[in-house]
Amino acid sequence: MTNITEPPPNDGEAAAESTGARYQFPRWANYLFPTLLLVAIGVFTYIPLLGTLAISPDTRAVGYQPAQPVPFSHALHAGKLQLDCRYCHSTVEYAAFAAVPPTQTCLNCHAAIKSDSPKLALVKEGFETGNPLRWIKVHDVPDFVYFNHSAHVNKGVACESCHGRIDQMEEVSQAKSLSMAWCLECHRAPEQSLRPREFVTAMGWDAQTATGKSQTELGAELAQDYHVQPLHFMTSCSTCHR
Amino acid sequence: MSTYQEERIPFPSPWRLVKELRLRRPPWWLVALLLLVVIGTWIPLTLIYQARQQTSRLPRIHFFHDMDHQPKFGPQAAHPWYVDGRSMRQPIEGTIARGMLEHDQEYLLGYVTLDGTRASSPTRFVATLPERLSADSNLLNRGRERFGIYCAPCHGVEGAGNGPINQAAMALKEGKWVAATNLMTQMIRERTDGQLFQAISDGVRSMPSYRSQISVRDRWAIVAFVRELQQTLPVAAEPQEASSTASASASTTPATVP
Ligand code: HEC
Ligand code: HEC
Ligand code: HEC
Ligand code: HEC
Ligand code: HEC
Ligand code: HEC
Repeated sequence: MTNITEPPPNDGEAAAESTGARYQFPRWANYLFPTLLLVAIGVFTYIPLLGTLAISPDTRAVGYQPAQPVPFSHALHAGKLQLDCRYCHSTVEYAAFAAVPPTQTCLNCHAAIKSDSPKLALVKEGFETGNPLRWIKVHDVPDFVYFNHSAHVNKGVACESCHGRIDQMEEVSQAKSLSMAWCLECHRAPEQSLRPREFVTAMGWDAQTATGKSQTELGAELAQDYHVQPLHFMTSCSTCHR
Repeated sequence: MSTYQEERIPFPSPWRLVKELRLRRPPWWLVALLLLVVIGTWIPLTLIYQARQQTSRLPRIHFFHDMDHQPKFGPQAAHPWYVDGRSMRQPIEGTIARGMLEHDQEYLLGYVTLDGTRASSPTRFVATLPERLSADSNLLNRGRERFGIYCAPCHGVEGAGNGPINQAAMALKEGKWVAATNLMTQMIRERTDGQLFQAISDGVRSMPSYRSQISVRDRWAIVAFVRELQQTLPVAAEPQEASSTASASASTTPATVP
């Protein structure tokens, strides 16, 4: 308001000196306003962006890999040795819960194979005393959510869609966020993930190479064959919160 | 003195703008501060990116606990009260769960005993599939699938005793490992259906029991499928040494799982 006259084209300080008494903002002060504007816009977009990214389940939940009591490797057993998931997780087709195998299942083979390995000492001890191994749960949806393995596996939703490439994991880690948005993404378009029932435990399965049909085409056919529930059921709150 | 209203500032030509800007360069520390802030904003972003790429030993942070962890015990959960730490209680010895009563011995055991319990030794094995099952394509397909899951790891997809587990154990030269039997030999072909069924349910010598992993119907389905395999594939030669080690191991090593 004060400085409407054209100031001399040199530095602000010099101008202040020349006029003497009154303080004059230095020339660069003209940059403050645009800079502050930029900073303000930056802050208002940056903080929410940062917050969203930081608390997103993709950041917080994915990649959880607790240390297990026994160094059991899916890469070895399900990958190299080609054991079917159901050999160990035998309830996955019948029950809501996919049972983690009892020590007896391990001893089916390990009574004879690597029976003296120190890595298996806990398994043998558990079998002899009858005390279960305390595996740490990796995937855990909140208790107010109803999840059912058999409902998914019997309609041709593969383990891989929700657990990732287990057959390449030395230690299991959570591959998907298991958030409500993630569940709904599939529930709104299940045909993008359906495959014939006999391949639900297969890893690296691809509709195009296996059947010659695109996933959308095959999925739509299977959804019809398997009588997959309509959209209103799949997205109704009481389906998952019962 | 001129006022705002009077003053007319002409729109600067680009050239002039550049010149002006060069003239009015902000002080270095303002530029440095701005750069620092801009670079600083990348630090949390990189950290988040890193967190997304890496695995973590720590469970996710629950900002709001809501009812995420309710004071109830799910399947296979740990329980602080019991000595064995299980929240799921094991059936009390001598009790029979509903639907588990072995009233139809032929179907549930594959053999018949004198006193009608599993404890006494079999008097007669069932020769063919029990009446309540028919060897239709449904049962055979089920059998093929279950055989692939539970038997093929050791016995191989065609029952020739060359499954990946058997091969791994042989490659490791495991002293205690007994080669999985070739199921296509005359010896196994002459076994009754009941004997095959019992082999799955109770295990044989060093073969473990699959009672807890495979349901009764599925065990019969596997038997039906093995029969089908035997009909379509040629008879395999009796491995001489293998069967002698098998019988030797029978006396030295007890069955893995009683
Ligand atoms: C030899 C037995 C065995 C086989 C075969 C096997 N698993 Fe597992 N699985 C286990 C055991 C034991 C655990 C618990 C220890 C752990 O989490 O690593 C487990 C844990 C898991 C978990 C994590 C469970 C949790 O706590 O959230 C998933 C998911 C899983 N398995 C999926 C699979 C899939 C998919 C396959 C087939 C490709 C498979 N498993 C094959 C034995 C097996
Ligand atoms: C169907 C057979 C089979 C089952 C069931 C099985 N394993 Fe194994 N496991 C093997 C074989 C074969 C090896 C050795 C592979 C190799 O080293 O080439 C092995 C190796 C291991 C090793 C590494 C041992 C060492 O010293 O290198 C561990 C640990 C192990 N298994 C844990 C388990 C646990 C725990 C279970 C039960 C959940 C289990 N296994 C069930 C077949 C099996
Ligand atoms: C639609 C997604 C989905 C599919 C398909 C799926 N799972 Fe899961 N799985 C989950 C979720 C979600 C959990 C966590 C459940 C909970 O905390 O109650 C889980 C948990 C598990 C567990 C830990 C035990 C439990 O039930 O909490 C195992 C083991 C497991 N899955 C194995 C498998 C296997 C093997 C398959 C394939 C035959 C499979 N899952 C298919 C989503 C899936
Ligand atoms: C990859 C696809 C996919 C994902 C991911 C998925 N679902 Fe599903 N879900 C299905 C399909 C397909 C059905 C259809 C079942 C039917 O038709 O009965 C289904 C059905 C269900 C049902 C109904 C079961 C019944 O019939 O009563 C529940 C409950 C359910 N899902 C819960 C969940 C939850 C919770 C999650 C997330 C943790 C989830 N689902 C993630 C594909 C998926
Ligand atoms: C496909 C299954 C599914 C359906 C359908 C579904 N939810 Fe959810 N919901 C979930 C899962 C899984 C979670 C847990 C997410 C997590 O782990 O934070 C959840 C969490 C929630 C939460 C708690 C969020 C929090 O973190 O506190 C609320 C509230 C909720 N759902 C409301 C609803 C409502 C309202 C509907 C109907 C419009 C609905 N849900 C439908 C699966 C579902
Ligand atoms: C962990 C590896 C393993 C698995 C899995 C396995 N077997 Fe065996 N099986 C063996 C071994 C080892 C023998 C030889 C036992 C011996 O001679 O000591 C055998 C022997 C047999 C015999 C010959 C019994 C006899 O009277 O001589 C039959 C029949 C048989 N298995 C059927 C099956 C069927 C059916 C399945 C699937 C449910 C199966 N096995 C799964 C390892 C296995």
